[in-house]
Amino acid sequence: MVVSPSPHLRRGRDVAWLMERVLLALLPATFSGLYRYGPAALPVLLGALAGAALGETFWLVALSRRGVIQDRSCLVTGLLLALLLPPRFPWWMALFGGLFATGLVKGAFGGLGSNFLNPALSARALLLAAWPVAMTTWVVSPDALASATPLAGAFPKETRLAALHLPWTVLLRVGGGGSLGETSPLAVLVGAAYLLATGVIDFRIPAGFLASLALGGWFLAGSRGLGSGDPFFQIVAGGALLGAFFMATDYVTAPVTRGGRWIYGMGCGVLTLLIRLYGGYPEGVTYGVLLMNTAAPLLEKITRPRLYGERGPFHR
Amino acid sequence: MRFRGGVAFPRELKPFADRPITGLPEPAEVLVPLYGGPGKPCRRLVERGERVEEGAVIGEGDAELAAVHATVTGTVTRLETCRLPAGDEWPAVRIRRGESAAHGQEGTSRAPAATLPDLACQMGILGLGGAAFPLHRKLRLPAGAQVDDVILNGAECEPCLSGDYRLLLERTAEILAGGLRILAHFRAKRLWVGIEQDRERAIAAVRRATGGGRRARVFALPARYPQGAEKQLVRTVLGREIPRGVYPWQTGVSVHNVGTALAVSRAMAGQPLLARVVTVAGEAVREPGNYLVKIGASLAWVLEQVGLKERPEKLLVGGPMMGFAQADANVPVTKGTTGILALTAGEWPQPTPCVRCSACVEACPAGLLPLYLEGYTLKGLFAQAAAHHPGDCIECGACSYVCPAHRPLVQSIRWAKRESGRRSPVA
Amino acid sequence: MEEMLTATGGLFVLGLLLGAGLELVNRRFPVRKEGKVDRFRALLPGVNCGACGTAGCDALAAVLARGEAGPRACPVGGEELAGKLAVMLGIAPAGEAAAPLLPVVRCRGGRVASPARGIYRGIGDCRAAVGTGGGGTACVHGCLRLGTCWEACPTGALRGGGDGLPVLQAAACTGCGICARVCPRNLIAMHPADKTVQVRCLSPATGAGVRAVCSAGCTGCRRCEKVCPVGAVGMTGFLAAIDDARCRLCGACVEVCPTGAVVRAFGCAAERERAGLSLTNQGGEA
Repeated sequence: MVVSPSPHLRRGRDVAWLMERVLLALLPATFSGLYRYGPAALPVLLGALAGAALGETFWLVALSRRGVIQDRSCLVTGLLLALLLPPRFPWWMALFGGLFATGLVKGAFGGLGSNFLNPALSARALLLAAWPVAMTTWVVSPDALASATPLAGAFPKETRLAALHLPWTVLLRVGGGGSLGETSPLAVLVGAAYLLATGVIDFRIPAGFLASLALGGWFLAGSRGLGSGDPFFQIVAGGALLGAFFMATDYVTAPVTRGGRWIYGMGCGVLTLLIRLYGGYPEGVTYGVLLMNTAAPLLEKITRPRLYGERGPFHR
Repeated sequence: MRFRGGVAFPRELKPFADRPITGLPEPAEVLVPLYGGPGKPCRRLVERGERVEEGAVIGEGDAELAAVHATVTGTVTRLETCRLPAGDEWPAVRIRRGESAAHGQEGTSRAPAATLPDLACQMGILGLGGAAFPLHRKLRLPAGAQVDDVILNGAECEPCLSGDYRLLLERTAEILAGGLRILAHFRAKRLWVGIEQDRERAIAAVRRATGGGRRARVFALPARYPQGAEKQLVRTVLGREIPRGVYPWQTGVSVHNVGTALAVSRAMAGQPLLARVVTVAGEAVREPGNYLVKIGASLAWVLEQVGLKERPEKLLVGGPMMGFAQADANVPVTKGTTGILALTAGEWPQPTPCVRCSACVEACPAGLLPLYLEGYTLKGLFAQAAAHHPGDCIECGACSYVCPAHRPLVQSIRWAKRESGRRSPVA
Repeated sequence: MEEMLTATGGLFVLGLLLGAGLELVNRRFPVRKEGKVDRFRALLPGVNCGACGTAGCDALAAVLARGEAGPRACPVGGEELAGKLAVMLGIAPAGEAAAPLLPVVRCRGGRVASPARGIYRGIGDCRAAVGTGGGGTACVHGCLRLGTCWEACPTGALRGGGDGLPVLQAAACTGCGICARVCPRNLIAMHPADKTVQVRCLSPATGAGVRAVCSAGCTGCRRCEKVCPVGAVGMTGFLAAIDDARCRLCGACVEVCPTGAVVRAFGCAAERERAGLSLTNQGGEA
């Protein structure tokens, strides 16, 4: 008979199951983007997905590993990358981004579970550095698809959005426009609620992220001095929701400890806000999360859970 | 106190609770391991060919070990080594059942000891929760030590097992009597009976039996695994943790399985521990349920008695979370055998890379980072693994249970424990 | 044009200044190479096996240079190296010249001789399997046959044989002893290479106990003890033990052993040369 180590019982979830939940949760945002921008957004979507799948396959073949592509994680990376890109982004640039994400950021560091930066966000950062004009050719006004004006220049799009003076309640429904996945914060929230309900993601990172972003936005981002900002504007504008629920919660690059997740989430929020308000980049979430990625191992070290029977700061 | 970590099992993993305890017939042959506690075997007191009465002492040790009794009347046919369920080799005595030597001859049993530890030692009582630690060693305290709380553990350490639950329902009075005897021995203040919330009938039965008395009270525990682990139980019931590296009695608490309390009660009536309740279950078993089995009966014999639907792929002694997989069924039922599970699925899920989802960290009731322990151990970095406190792991298996990547977490932590015990010095 | 020149010129001057600064610092505060470490390092074998207990030959060289290790710190280099290190350390090499050590696997219970009781599924490492029902092996003292020793071998001298047991190619062995340290059942002993008659079983079980699980184990029949002309074979319970100091390698015990637990080992010719032995004894196994 079979001799194997205990436990002999498993919950029956595997990595593919988790990745499928994330893909499912991204569907509302994807469809919202496709609905808004129509077939014109398909090339970038397919390009990013194909690039990510290719990059993954390269390593699987090179290392003669089998089965890892079945975990769907490269599809999650590709889809996330697509949602971070402008809808009219050239498909081949998206393909390149996808290749970079899974081929270099993920594969070269050892594949699934070994990368220290979020692949999709790294790819976005690379694309932004390589093709800044294409990356900032947003469709700003929600119903201005036809009059999409190529706006070159590296300055926060949130600043321009703020100039439109749209109330956040409207933004919640229609989003700020911009990237493919930023057309409807509501759709992102639906997916996020699903992930939280199924226990796929932990609430601590998004909670810390959004709370610090809102608080900081209220305190710093107002036009009439400290404490006059609109806290909700920072959350619904741009990619903050997508970042908080889908990027910052990326298992591989986030801390595994509870305390670490709070700090990590709040760090993401603060950095995002600082870059948005005082930085020269068109998007704060990308760099905020990427910077915190690098801090994750350190955060884990300083927030090790208290052992059973160990005296902690809150235990005698 | 809120339960820390752990996992909640679906309800269907707690079956067979409605089946009363059934006695199995006397086995034709038993192989009684000379096991009276961890460390070394008991000294054998019988020779090959000797006739022994049921209940006769066949093994004895020094103060550390409990006595071992013949569980059937018959002839010693062989002195051999057997495999204990955990995999160790242990000397054992094989007894073939036969007619009683002489009717009415009662001179073999000695007068019951006066003190409870001596009685427990004499009657061969080991902790029946699974660890099989000699009861008398838990009862003997150094001078000056004081135990205030005695907790009877009715939390059924594992899913699929229901022996403790049935005992609480069917032998309520005796368990409480045994518990009160332990309480009296310690001159302790409170007797708790910890029962999981979803075992409503057992809670009601014990409440009825205590009659609202002040000395014994029921504590409804959260139905979360591993609630039956000693440290976790103390935390839930008393709201405090046992500091690392400290025995429970040093913090004034003593925890005993309900089956052990029952054995104490029986011992007070002069009966040694000869049989225990074993949950026999698994897909391959025809008549799953709770059975009273003689110590030393082989697993093969037990499975034969309850009937097998098909050949099991995996045979567990204990529960599905911490049980030991047996290579074959030529293993005796011991005092620590809480269950026998005959499973039809033998595959071991193939591990995929860790995605750092932190499910293991959330599930660990000891506050460890299983993913780090595993990662370092499998890379051969035993010193780094040792820095993550492998010794604090209670091997409950919650981390491996929840791991979506099927990482061999528990096995590597066990490995890390071994390695941290045998570090080689720098030449 | 002027801007360009200013920029280019400015950068040029800046580069010049910084470069000069670097050079200055380098001259003034040079990192002194520990010549001693390098000299020690040059003597060491360079396989980085870690047998000495340090991270590798570089690390041991540093330890030697600090004077915190003796001339025999490297178990791989043998007498030759010990002599050189002693000269370098300015001390006489302690101890006598001994034959090189080779690993002896004290189990012959291969897949055929000792069939597994169960199918093991788990981490494919002996050190993990030993705590998991012995990995399904029949003998609780014998080889787990998962290859931890040969995977740990830095030179490939130990390899997996067809019956699951490790096989030694003595010529490639440096005697580092890593295999002996990783074996969770301590089956591998480092043994002088010139002592070629060995008991290859560690089971203290009775004859019946051994026979129940293995056909190649020592049953304690004492035939070897009786046949030995010099009284070099004794018994430890049910297990034969050869006193290397007395053994004259006649091989009488090997002839009478009914299960083949007593064997003549290190049969490879190259190894014999290494051990300085004559080639009179043919056969045997490694």
